[in-house]
Amino acid sequence: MEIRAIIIEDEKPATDLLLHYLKSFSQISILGTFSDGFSGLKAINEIKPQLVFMDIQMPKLTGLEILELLEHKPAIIFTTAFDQYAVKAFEANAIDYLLKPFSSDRFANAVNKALEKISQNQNNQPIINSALTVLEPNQSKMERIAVRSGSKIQVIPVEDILYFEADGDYVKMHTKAGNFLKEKTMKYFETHLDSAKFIRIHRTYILNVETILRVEYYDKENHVAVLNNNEKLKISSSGYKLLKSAINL
Amino acid sequence: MNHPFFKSLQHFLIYAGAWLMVTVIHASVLLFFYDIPFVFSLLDGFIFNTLFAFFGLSLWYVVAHSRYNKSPMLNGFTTHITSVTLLLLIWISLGDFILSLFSGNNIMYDKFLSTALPWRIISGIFYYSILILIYYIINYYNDLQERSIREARLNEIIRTTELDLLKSQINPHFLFNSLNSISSLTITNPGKAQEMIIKLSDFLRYTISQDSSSLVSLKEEIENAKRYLEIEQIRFGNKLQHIFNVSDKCLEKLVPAMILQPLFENAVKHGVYESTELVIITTNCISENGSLKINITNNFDPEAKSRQGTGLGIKNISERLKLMFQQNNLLNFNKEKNIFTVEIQIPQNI
Repeated sequence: MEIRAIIIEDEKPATDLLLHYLKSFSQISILGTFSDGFSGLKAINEIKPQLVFMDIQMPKLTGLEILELLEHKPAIIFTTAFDQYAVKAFEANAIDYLLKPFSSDRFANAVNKALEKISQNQNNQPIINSALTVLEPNQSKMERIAVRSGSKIQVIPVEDILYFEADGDYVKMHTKAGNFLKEKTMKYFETHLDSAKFIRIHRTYILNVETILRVEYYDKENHVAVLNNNEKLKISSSGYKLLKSAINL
Repeated sequence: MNHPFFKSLQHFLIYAGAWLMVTVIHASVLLFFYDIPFVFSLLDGFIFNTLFAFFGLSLWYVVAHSRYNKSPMLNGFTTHITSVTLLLLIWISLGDFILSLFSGNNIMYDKFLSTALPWRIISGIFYYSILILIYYIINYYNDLQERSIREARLNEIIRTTELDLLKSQINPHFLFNSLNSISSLTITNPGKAQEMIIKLSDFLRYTISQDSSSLVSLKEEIENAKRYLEIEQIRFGNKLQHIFNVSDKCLEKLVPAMILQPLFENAVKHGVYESTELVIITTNCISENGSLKINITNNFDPEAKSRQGTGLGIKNISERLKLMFQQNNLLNFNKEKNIFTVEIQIPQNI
């Protein structure tokens, strides 16, 4: 059986090394090498490889952002010099990660593991699902969010987001340039955003404190936040407490 | 515990001179107000004051001791009561004894000696108080001086520690990625691998051998920056290019060690790492008005969104320059469209 694979890596020597190691796996055919996040993501969706070797730090999109945006989910082996990602990947039992520099034995080990998983998964079940939530560096706060809008991929810096709104299985992100949907939970954003800047003011809202114009009474007991663009958002009583301590009201 | 009056001959002479003056006044009072004969007045003044001067020297140790013995006020008070009583007892009896050896049968003087005791006690307590006061002042002054020396030394330590911290640390990711490139080159191009190992070694040697506050020539700094850029070039190939427009005159100037590499690292990180296009890093230098201006420019992809670690390298260099030259605004940077420029100034008149 032939395994279709691609390499997404922005450094030529690193790509060369992968190609060299792969020479001893005759069943794997490399259909292409890509040197940035955008072209890599496009290639995965178009070529639909079964196996992907991917760096984490790359221009345009990181390997982790690509993972979030995938429609087709192949088996992925990460290669990285950043061990803070790798440890998390290991805990999540992702196919594998390779810490640069790695030996040919270590590489063979990872590939064999992937081949085994692929042969067990002929019906193309997502293999790296479990890695999705844990594969994020938890010590640093989220700084940008990659979203798909139509056929385009957009990367939004978090400071451009006015507020997050719960919307069924999605979260709607409101920005000056329009709204974007992301298939995530409110809880996910609440824990990953910088809690000094983004406050869960209500079950349905996480608000960027920079955008608050003022806070006023809605009725006797409840408050609303008035934003720069004059939108008004309800604040729950527990949200009001959080907001008060965040902006020293 | 250095005795203040034995510190130098000058100090000792001041002490002796003061007592000589007291002796003269003492003798004059006896001579003119009590009609004591000249020889006896002089003898009385000389013996009692010399004795007190002698005992007075030892009082320093009473004061100096109290400095190390952090006893409560009351304890210090009893110490002085004890020491003044003892001193007066010894002083007066010893003085009287020596005088009795000289005083033959001068009636006037004998009469004076029998009434002199209260006066001796009063003047003794007075001398004691003055001396103790002087010693306390000296002690306090010494303490103050010692403290300011200690403070200055502490400040110096803090400054060098801060500089050490700010001095560029080798970025471990750079190191691991470079090692990965070498690992690849050993297979595909062993000659180039060899070359890269040597460059990396030279770079590491330079980085760890430099003291945080040492000055090196701009030539050495630029050579190191070139080594760094050439290593990154092996990783990123034609995507990275560099141009150095630096005159020979500038190359001789002195700059802090490891001040340039973090700026180039910053340019590579935000330029090359985030871009798919060619990134050119240009370095210019001018030397004018006793100041060296180094200007580093690179293009970047404005579409690349913020990533962690932004500006930390720049901030560190700015802090280092501030600490070293005690001057603000030695680093300025500017972001315009797709061009990032950073300029540092190195004062040369130091």
